[in-house]
Amino acid sequence: MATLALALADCLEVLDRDPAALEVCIAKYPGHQETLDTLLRLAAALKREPAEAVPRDGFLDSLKSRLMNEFPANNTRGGEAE
Amino acid sequence: MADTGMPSTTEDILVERARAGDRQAFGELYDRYAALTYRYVSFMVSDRQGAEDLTAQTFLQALQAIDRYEERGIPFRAWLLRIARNLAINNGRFHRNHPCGNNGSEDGRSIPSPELLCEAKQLGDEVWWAVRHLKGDQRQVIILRFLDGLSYADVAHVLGKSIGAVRVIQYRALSALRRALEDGDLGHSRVGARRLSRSA
Repeated sequence: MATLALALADCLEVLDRDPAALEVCIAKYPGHQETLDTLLRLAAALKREPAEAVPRDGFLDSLKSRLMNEFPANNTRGGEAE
Repeated sequence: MADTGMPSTTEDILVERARAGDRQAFGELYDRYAALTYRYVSFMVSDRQGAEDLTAQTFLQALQAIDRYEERGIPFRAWLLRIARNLAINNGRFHRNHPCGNNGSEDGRSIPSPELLCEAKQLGDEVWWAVRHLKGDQRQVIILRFLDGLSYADVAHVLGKSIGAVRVIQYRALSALRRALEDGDLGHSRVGARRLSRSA
């Protein structure tokens, strides 16, 4: 399994640099080609269709305001950039 | 995909300014990583409220600890996500297996329903639904590597594991996803597995 894990990591890094290099990369690992091919296509699907996780409207803005208000009390070194 | 904010000289400057007490710089770091942090924690907790609480706690702790942050090859976002992970574990919010049927959806409703799942048309939808059923570390490696685009070294830092361990977990996670899709044990038809074998 360690060999497969390394082969998978290697091919993923190769594909990050050259998405067209799938066949070339899996050819380096005879005996694992079918498994690698499937797992690499699955990885490609994960990257191609990113999951959405969206907070409630206004949550991120509200949290930012809270953080900005708390900032001076927690950081007394230095000053504002403005 | 959202901008994952690759570490840059600009980021280093922002961190240094924030460490020196520059509120605006911290605000810019927040703008870069708030959505990413929320997305990451949403895969660790069972509901939207929990994800929001954890996101807030993460940034509050980062605010208090930023003067102790040292770059040393660890990007700010990896440092931030490690805070999130530790908080989730320490607060008992971390679900080793994400609860089925709860997608952190609007108003806490539990969607998608099995019926909706069966109607999913995109392989991506099915795959990400399967990701939510992975074991804790496997799920986190998939999120950090394929959604947030972290390097192996950065994932290793977030999880407190070696790079070699991260590679093995990545392999196990993708293998588990493949089995889930092929077996249809998430209530799906086998369309996902068929599409997977044909898609480029």
